[in-house]
Amino acid sequence: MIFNSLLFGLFICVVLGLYYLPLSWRVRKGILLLASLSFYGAWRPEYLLLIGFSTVVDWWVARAMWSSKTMRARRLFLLISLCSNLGLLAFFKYGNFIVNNINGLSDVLGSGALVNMPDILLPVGISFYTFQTLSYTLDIYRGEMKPWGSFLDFALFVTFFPQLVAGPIVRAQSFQPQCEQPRKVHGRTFLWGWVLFILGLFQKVVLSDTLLAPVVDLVYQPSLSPGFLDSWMGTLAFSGQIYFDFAGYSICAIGVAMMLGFELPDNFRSPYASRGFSDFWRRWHISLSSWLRDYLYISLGGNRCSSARVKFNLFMTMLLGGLWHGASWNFVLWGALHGFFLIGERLLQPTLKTQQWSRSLLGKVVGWGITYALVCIAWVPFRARSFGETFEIYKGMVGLSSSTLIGPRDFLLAGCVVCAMLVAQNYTRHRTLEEVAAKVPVWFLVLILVGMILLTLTNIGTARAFIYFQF
Amino acid sequence: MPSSTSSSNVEGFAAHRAPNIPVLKVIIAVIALSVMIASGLELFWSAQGVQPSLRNTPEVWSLEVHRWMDRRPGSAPAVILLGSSRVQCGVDSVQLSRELPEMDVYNLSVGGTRSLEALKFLSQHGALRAGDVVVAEFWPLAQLGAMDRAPYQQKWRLFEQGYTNPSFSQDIEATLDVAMESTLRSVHPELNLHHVFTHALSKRRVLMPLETMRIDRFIALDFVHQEASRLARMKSKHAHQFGQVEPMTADAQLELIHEFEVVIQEIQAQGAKVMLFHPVVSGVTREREQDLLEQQAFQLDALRSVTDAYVSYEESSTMVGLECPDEIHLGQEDIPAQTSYLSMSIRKMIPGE
Repeated sequence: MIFNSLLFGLFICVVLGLYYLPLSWRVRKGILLLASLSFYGAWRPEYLLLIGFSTVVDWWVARAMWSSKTMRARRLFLLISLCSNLGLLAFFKYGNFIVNNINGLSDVLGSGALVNMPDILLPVGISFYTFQTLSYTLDIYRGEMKPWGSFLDFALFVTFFPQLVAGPIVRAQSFQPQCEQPRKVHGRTFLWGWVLFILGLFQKVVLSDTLLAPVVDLVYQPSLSPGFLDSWMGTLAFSGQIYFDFAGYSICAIGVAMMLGFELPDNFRSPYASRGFSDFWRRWHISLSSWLRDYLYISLGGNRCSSARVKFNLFMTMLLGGLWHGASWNFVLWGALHGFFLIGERLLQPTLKTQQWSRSLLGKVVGWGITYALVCIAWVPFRARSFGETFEIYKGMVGLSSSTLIGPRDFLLAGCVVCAMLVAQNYTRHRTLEEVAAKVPVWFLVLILVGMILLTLTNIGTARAFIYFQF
Repeated sequence: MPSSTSSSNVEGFAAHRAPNIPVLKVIIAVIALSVMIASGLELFWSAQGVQPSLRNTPEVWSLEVHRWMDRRPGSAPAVILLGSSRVQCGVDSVQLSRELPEMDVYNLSVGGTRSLEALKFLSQHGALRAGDVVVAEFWPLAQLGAMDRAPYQQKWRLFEQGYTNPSFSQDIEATLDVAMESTLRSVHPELNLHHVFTHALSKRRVLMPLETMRIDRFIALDFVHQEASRLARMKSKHAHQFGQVEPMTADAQLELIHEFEVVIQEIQAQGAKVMLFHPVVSGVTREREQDLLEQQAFQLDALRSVTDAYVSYEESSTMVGLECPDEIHLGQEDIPAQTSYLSMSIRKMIPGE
């Protein structure tokens, strides 16, 4: 079930209706758990077993780990959690990738295909919920929290439907207190949740799918060599498409949770207004980047080691972050590029700090421009389906191809949307959406909402699945 | 990210920041205005003559397959239409049902595919019964010409997977979508913001949709209200695509004909009859097709010998006189003639007629 479907519209009405009944908090949480399982099961009921397995294992491991007396036993339980969660990921998400690479290598060596692997359907949201449950056991291992007392609460934490399939990745420490106290939904938060849901759908259906995706699809086609302007416009349009797609989903999730009285963390903060890559990663997919920082980067040693080792840690974190997105060398390349960018920024930082001009308006504009351009360059392998296609787009970007694929009207339209996005993000670099909305007259807010609802409804037919569902 | 470890916690919660807005007033105003404007939009499109249209998706196709597969025992024999957009846009299943009241019509044609894959699908699913008539498009130019079959097969696989590998809630979602799309004109697939905006920007007039798909999966093509330049582009695209098709190699043709023969015999073994149907083409495409047919007469004769009927537009003076404005598809005003011709041909296949 996806947010941009009629079925979800009916589903959420029924869930809200039942959830608002004057029942005990425990029963209302039970309703949410059932709703979450139905939401996930609407896709493939058999994959509920996987999410159930992950939930039960981590619930049991956390309790066993907490009651263990020795460090050795705690490590053993952590290993069980890591193996079961990462094992699920390795089999369902990376199984075909690993097998294809082994077979490819053995083909090169002349020994033919070695391993056969049946086609496995990637369980939606597996990367998100495994990371979520892993963070729980890792927090227990580090002694940062106690095991939860209620299995119902823990199961709701793992399966909470607004963010189950594409995040934001929620930490147990922020969700647990919300399960313990009955959630009260005030009119103000309900309305704002509804507004966020409409905004998220508008971003996804209208801006991403209707206005930008067709331009991206024209450029990113196998066996085509787009020219200079097309390659750049296709890539800039993709930067908008993926932002509106993913941020749109996150905003919908936050909005739906808010209507249920729950709070989910922000996942995006005007990422294309970043000046520098560490700034970018504090603004893009915040729940994943902070997860990787806390559980991977710091585990590798973080900043508290030699300069060379810090750079290695940065690079490895980004490389694995890239691989998290999908089982393809293109995602690894995307992660590697960001790793290089972060290392480059770290090397340049001491010099830039001494330069007066880097703090001037011009310096800030240059910093923003370079960051956005490099982020877009890194989006190329992320969107392309192969290294060959990536290479063709890069060739076009440096002017080595000349074919024209995008018509002038589409070019103008995509250009306007991307420019508007960049202006809006720079305006909200230090402001939240709520601050902007609070300054807008109510009648204007009403008109904007009506416009977004009508445009979303009349374009819902062009909607595609959310890009991050495949991760 | 990692280099931000020294910074303060970057997480924030929108729920804490919800602005103070008059809740009830805003909700009522938004709903009332949305309903008013949406109703106005519906009336506008209705006055323009736009009809509601479904999206031609694998999910909607899958609903039609279910309708065919889930027939009650003892129900009327079926006419199953297979082929490309030339069948989907060229045969009105409601009219066909009216003219063949003793049969139920199922339209399983899929634009951008060829009938061979569809015939294989039908033969493998064991839902055919004695008395059923399978009408499969046979377009000699596309079937016997040296064209890349991969895109057609890929498109077919996409639709077939919608049936063989559905999500648990797929049929419910498709039913809801069908209910909405068959009621509201504003959600017509060709009237999306992108099309309307770019059209209004350049032409300064309202865009009229070309395709309107009904619930029975028939697509009516409105060439009359299209701009001459758009029609010319479509015509030249098809003339370029089909006007220079070379024949397949003899071996490839033999292999293809053999594939057809095998699958037709499998269907016949289940008690159904197979009719190959060759719909109208025009212009350069027709000329090229006639050249090709002269060269390939032997292969076509071989195929005719295994089918229960082979019906071509060339056998009817009315049909030969019809023109496809884009070379390969008939406009909606000519569909009754082609449908009647087909129903007459099917009637001849029914025992006792």
